[in-house]
Amino acid sequence: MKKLVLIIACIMMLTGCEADMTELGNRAIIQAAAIDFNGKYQVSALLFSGGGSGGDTIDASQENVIKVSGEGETLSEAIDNISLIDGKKLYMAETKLLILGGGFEKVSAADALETLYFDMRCSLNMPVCCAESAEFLTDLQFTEGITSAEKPLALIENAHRMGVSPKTTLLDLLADSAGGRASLLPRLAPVRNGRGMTSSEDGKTAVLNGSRYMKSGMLSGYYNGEETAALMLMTGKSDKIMLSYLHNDTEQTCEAYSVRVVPEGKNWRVSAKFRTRNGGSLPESEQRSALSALTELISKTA
Amino acid sequence: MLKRNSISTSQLFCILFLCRLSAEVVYPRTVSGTAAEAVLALIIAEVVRFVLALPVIIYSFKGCNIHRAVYGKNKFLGWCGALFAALLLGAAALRTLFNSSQFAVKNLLNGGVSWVVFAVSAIFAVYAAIMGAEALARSGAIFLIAAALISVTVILADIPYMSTEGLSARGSFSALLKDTVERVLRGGDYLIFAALLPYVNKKKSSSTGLTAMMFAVSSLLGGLVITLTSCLVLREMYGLCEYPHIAAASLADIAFFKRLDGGAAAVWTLCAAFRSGVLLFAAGSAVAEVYRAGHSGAAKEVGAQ
Repeated sequence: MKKLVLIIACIMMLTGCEADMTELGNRAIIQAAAIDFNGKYQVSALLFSGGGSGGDTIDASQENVIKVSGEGETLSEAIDNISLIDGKKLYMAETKLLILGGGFEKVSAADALETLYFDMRCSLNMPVCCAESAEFLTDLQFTEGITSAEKPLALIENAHRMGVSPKTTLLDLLADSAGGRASLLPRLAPVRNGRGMTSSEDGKTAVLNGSRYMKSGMLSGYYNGEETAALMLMTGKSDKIMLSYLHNDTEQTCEAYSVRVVPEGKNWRVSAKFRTRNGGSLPESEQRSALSALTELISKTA
Repeated sequence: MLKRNSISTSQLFCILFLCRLSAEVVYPRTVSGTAAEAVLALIIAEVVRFVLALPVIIYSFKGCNIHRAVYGKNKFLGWCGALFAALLLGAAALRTLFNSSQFAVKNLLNGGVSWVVFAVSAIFAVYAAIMGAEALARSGAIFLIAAALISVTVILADIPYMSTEGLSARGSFSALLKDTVERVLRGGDYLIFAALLPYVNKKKSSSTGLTAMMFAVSSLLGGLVITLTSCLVLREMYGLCEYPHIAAASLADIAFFKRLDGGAAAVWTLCAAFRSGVLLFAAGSAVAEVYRAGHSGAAKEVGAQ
């Protein structure tokens, strides 16, 4: 028994094992990555850096990320470029958000997505969104959250919970691509909207601005917020929506829930239950108006 | 290694079941097929393995070891059968060691030298084989509990990600055939069963046969659970993943564990090393059983004289 333990110990010590022994402190942990294509792959990454607080503890009032950009003929080359600039080996398994830029309207992002999963070890449940210019999101310095990547993620998750925007993950994109289906991606856009969300003096921030389809890796179409919510209902990704409708020439709002949308030839059969925003019941006449508004929204989007 | 009647039928079942499931998880998928094709290939492979193992199972109902029974009818055939079984089991052990080292390097170590993992697993397997049937049986039950815990955790955590979207896609016949052959070649469990029979403490002669039948059903169900959950979670991506169960485990997000793929990979690597140990022990046992039959026959002749 002692000889066996000695033999095992010798094997472990004498092999000069070349397993990847990079310590966590020597890795650049990517929190968010923005990828665009403009003849070359352009990658902007937010790398976690607790250096704002000077060392061992993370100061939530600091940004705690640094932005590094790189480009290359392939995505791998662009990411290696970032690694060279930052001087650390990249670690993408903790990437919280992926943003795809408008350059993928003409070029397929399928190869890039497969590289991210199979080579870069990104998590399959990493949320993916799109933007006209992907880099803008990495320029914004959100003040909430431990890192700047958390705020846009919170925007997407909150909107998804409300049923007004999709939450698409890397798995959804890869599976839909393999299955020949289109995926609906939430779209972020820059906006000037008050102050405080970012450290920018001019109130620049990001907002969810509808959605786009991605099929075979290429972005197409654009749907505004209302149309996106309708698409979510039609595809069964959501079954509730906050609805505005006219009743007796007065603008009213309510919540439609348990919404079911079934195609019937060229039309759509819509059924739903309605309640006030506070959860109270709605009079019959108002429910009819609400249902009519909902049906019109679905038909317009279809 | 020559202890007799030292393991129970339930321990035998645990060993076989763990060996089956560890092969299912640790062996890489090389066929990019659909979910429906993978499930069908699994069922066909289980049936094929069962049919091939029928002589072993029938003899086990009589409480007999097939190697000893064949030796009793024809010594040459008995030796040939035992040596052939030992060769198959040895090859399966080597294959398991190789695949488990690749599995560990790709899922745990993120690159590195796989032969180091191979060497360590081989030492573990040889040590396990030398320790004997009783040690294997006891550790098998513990490994099975660990594997069951991690698998159930992964399945429960993956429920929110399950979708039936990709199940209806049809595969191709060539992919089905290739996948079926690949799955049949992951076997060896019934040979292990035959080799471990002399060590089983059986109350009735039919109890080992019933254990084999229960294993056949459980093996099919266990394989189906693992394959179906991976298919439901990964959808069409199932065909693109080398280790679908580990890919599905990477989505599991519970409590403070953001991903369970590392933990699952660690547990299944150990289970695969255990399987290698069992295969090596079974290879030695198959030959030893025929050797014992020959010597006990010679002893009877000397006694008669």
